[in-house]
Amino acid sequence: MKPPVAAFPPLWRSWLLLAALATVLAAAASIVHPAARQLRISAGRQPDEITLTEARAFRGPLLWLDARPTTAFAQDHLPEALPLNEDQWNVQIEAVLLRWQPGTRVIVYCDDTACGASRHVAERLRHDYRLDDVRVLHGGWAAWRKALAP
Amino acid sequence: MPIPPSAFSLLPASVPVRSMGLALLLGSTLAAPLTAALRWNSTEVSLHLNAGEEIGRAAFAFVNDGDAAVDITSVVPGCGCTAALPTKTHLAPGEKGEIPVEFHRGNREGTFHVSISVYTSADDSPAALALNVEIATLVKIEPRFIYWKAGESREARSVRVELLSPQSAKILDAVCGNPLFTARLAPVDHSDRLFDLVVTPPPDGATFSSITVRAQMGGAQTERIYTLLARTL
Repeated sequence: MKPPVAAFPPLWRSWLLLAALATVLAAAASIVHPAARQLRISAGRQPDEITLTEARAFRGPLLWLDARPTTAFAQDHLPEALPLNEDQWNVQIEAVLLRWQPGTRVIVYCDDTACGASRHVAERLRHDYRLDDVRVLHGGWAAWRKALAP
Repeated sequence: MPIPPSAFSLLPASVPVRSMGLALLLGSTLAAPLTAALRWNSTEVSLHLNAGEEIGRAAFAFVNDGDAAVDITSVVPGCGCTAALPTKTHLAPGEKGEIPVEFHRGNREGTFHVSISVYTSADDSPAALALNVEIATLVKIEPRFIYWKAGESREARSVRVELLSPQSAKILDAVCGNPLFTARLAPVDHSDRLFDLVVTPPPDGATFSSITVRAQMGGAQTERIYTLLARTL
């Protein structure tokens, strides 16, 4: 007995199904692959992070701290930023505390969203030195460079 | 109702096998940018150093699970305190290797996160490794920064100094770098492990002083230096 014609869906419906299947496969790969973690990190934003736009809008005094290795700071850094990294902490912290004034907002940055150095520096300043307004620049040095790009 | 023999039997009968192959190819093409040749056993490794330990060692293991050989072109630790050198720099497909790392504590205490960037011929952007180091604290000093605002009374202020470990360690002294300030260690109890560091600023003027607290490990005769800052605004 011949099957009814209605049992065969049109060709476009098959292709739609195939496209959906392909998308599901790609999505699954992007979830389970270790490299996808980096992408997901960059998408989120921590409560103590501040964007470049927000930092520029702040009306009070700002103190920029560069938590990258000293060699990277020597190559280039934000205007008026001071270096403060874990490697040279004991040498660099004094200049930071002498620049700081009550009411100053401290913003720490490192390379990009994935780098943890700025967060650790910020936590140390809050906990060990009791500085109350310390933020981490969302996107770090990469965000600054991107903002400068034409 | 009979159970279908495979998931493919759920597809309409009109879907040709060739089209399904195309779908798989399309799916794998979309996912292709995420494929990396070096696969790390873990991109995060933790280390713990006791109060007397100077060096900590760990390793990041990996395998080249790509189809082509991979060259490790450079390994850049984010801190001069860490040395990292791969056991081999050229990896054939399927070959395993590791990057041993050595952390030198120096005068550090507490938690440290060292990033390590691994550049390879397989990818333009480096693989980001994280070394989390926990170093046992010998002396806890809180806070590390005291200040007197302009116009504020210049009364002495205290900083708590606590010897945490080991039992044989002891606090030696506390010295101000600026003679306008004075610092005195006052025992809080009879344990010889808990002190108030009483800092007296000059009566007027804007100035500052670093204050150095020295502690000594017992048998090892290792001295540790801790600094804090006092400032008048």
